[in-house]
Order: sequence, then structure tokens, then C-alpha cells
Amino acid sequence: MIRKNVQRALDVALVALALALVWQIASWQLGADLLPDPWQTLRKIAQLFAEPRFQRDLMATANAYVIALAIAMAGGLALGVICGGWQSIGEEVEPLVLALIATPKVMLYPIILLFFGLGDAAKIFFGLLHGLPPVVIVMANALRSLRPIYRKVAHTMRLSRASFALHVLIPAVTPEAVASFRICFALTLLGVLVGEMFASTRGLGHLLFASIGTNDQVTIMAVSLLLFGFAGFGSSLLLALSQRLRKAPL
Amino acid sequence: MTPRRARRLTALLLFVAIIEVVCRAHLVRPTDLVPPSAMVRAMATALIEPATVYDLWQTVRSVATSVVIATVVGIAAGILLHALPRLRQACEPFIASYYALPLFALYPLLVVILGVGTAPIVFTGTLYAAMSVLIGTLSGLDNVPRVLRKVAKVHRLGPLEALAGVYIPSCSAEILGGITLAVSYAFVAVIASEFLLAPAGIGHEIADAYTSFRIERMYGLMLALVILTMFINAVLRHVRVRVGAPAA
Repeated sequence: MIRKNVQRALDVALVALALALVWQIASWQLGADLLPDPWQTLRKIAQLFAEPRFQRDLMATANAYVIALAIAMAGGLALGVICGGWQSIGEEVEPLVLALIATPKVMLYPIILLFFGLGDAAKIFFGLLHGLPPVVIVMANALRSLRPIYRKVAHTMRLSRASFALHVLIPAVTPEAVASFRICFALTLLGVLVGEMFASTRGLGHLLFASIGTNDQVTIMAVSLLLFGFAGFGSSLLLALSQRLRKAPL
Repeated sequence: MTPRRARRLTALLLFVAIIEVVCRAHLVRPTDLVPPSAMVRAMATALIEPATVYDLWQTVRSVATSVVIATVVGIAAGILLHALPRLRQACEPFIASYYALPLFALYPLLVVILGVGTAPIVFTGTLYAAMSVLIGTLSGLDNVPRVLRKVAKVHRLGPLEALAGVYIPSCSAEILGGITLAVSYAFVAVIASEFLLAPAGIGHEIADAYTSFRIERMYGLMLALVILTMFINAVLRHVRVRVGAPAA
């Protein structure tokens, strides 16, 4: 098992190395001014961490992201349980949620800006708009596709509603919940960053937007790499947890 | 009309009526929200302007080109990763975190590389859309029934013949699901790029209306875009139902 995990980690490192090599070759071809190379980008990341302004931006993004993620997960879970548990509600709410998923939410930024103004509320709302809908849909589907045998067993064992929820329902839908949290984790981050780009004066998204304005390619690449690293690490953890839960017996 | 549809239509009309009353009674500032009737009027006015129609056409063309390229690239990459499980496992963390990145932040870089015009927008749209097609293809190939694999074997089909004649048709529902998502992602990327820096496109028009305080026009253009995306999604859902996939 340990050998398998080491092998997998090595494979991931090899893919990362291959991507870095492609990046380096592209940088040589285009010129370092246009596309900074990986080493230059890593040095910029180190330099950014020492800057108080970057630390403030990082904290601003982290604060908004944690709040948006917590609300998106809890809200999505609650709404998903309601939609999956009560068919009549699900039939009315889910088409709206699906329509929201399919809508390019970035175009709603002027409306959000008009209602929330520049600041944390707007970017948290942007994060929610991106992160909450997938959790609702996955959870509602998980509840609806619960194997009938579980209900029969609970009925045969005369479990109370609370015991059924605690010992059958929650363990049965936990893998799907974790899978939906993984999607939520990435999309909420995207939502918060989009919110910061258009509707904020602080945060990493705003830093990206300002760097686009000044054509500061090194900062754009450094912030993008940092975000990709963070999202990759978090998503990998949730992916591993999700795979483990799917393999675990109920 | 089924009772459920009638119920939904009634709820929608009621919602629109409430917004109309709220706006007409000046309970919200006209700079925040305009009455739905004014939105529809602004949309109709905008859509008879040749410049706006051209912008809308340019956005739709960029999205369509992105989706076509993303479909080809996504399916090819999906087949490759499915054939190489070790590579697929190594790529999983990158696939999982792909959508967390605001890839349109790279738009200025792409402008310098690809030049001003639709090419950087289409490239950004393709970057966003390809991954969902890839994920759909992988999911479909994972779920090809064993009997179909046996059929391909019995008929002694080569790998390419089996792919084209058996495996891809059998997972067309999942691939179509990926393409449906790809359309949404391409819209997000194209409009976000147009918002940011592009000199044309409906995203640029909306941003322009917002910054010049033409709020009615902004809502009218948004309404046009929402109707367009809902129409495209309804068509795709219809196609998916026709090939036997769930509508949602």
C-alpha cells in the first residue's frame, strides 16, 4: 500500500515536471518578458510572501473564501437534503439550480455590484453562486438514488427516524457529499476570485486584475501558480477522502 | 400544457409581476433594478441595432468555435487517458483543481501571443470547455458495458474500429453531458474575456453599458444573453434525452 502511494506521488511529480518543462520551453520560445519561466515565477512567489500588501490580499481572499465555502457547503447540503427528501420541492427548485449552473455568472457582476457594493459581501456572494448549486444537485441525486434495501433494512429493524438518519442515511450519502464538496471547493475559489477581480479592491483576484492592467506577467503567473497549487492540494485531499469513503463498508 | 409546467409558468409570471410592482413603486432605486417591462423594451431596442447583433453573433461564434475545438481535444485526451490508467491517475490532481483557476487572467498573455481579435478569446474558451468533455469521455468509457467489450472482441475489431463503432457510440450520453457543460464553461470564459479587455462581443457591450450608467440597456443585454443560454441548454437537453441520457 505504501509502495503504491509512493509510486503514485512519483507519477504526479513526473507529470508536474513535464508541465514545468513545457512551460520552460514556451518561455524560451516567447521570451521571459512575455512568459516568465517557472524559476522566475517561484522566486516571485517567495518575494510576494515577504510583501505586507500581498499578505493583506492573501488574508482578504482567505477570509472571504472560508466564509463562502462554509455557507456553500452547509447551504448546499441543507437545500440538497430538502430537494432530495421532498420530491415536490425538488421538482420546482432543481430546474432553477440547473439553470443557474448553466448561466455565465460573471455577467451578473454589475447587478451584484449594484446590490452589495464593492467589498467582501459581493465576493462571498459570487463564491456562493459558483459553489452552492453543484452541492444541491449532487446531494439531491444521492438521496434519491439511495438503494431501496437500506430503507427496507431500517424498516425491518424498526429504526426510528433519528436512528435511520444517523446510522443509515448519513453514512450512505457521505461519499457523495464529499465528492460534491470537492467540486464546491474549486468552484467557490473561482467565484471568490472572479468577485475580487470585478467587485473588490482587495484580495488575490484584485491583485490579478491590477497586474493585468499593468501587464505584470510575473505576478500573474505567480498568483496563478499559487492558486493552482492550493486548489490542487485541497482537491487531492478531498479526492483521496472521497475514494476512501467509497471503498469503506457502510 | 402539463400541470407542472403551468405551475412553473404561473410562479414565473407572479415573480415578474412582483418585480414590476416593486420597481414601479420606487421601492428600489432605478439605478439598482429596472422593471422587467423596461428590460424587455431595452432588449428589443438593442437587438435591432446592427452593431449589437454583430457583437452577439461574435460572442456566439467564439463560443461555438471553442466548443467544437474543445470537443475534439477533450474526446481525444479522454481516450488517451483512459488507455493509460497510470498517466490518468497521475493527472487526477490537475484535473480536479483545473476549474478553480481563473484562466481568463491569462488573456493579456494570449493577446500578445495570438494577437488582438477572436483567437485569444476562442483559446480561453477552449481551455475552459475541453476539461468537461474530457471528464465526460472518461466517465463514459469507464461505464461501457462488459457485453459491448465482448461484442467488439467477438467481431475482432481493431482498437480504432472498436472505439469508433462501439465504445464512443455507447458513451455518447456522457460525452453529450460533457459538451453541455462545455457550452456553459465556454460562455463563462468568452464573456469574462470580453468583460476584461476585448474590444467587441456582448460581454464588452454589457460592461460598456454598466460603466456608462445605461442600466436599462445593461439589463436588456443580460436578458438577451440569459434567454440565449437557456435556449441553447434546452436544445442540448432535448438532444440528450433523444440519445437516452437523463435530462439533468
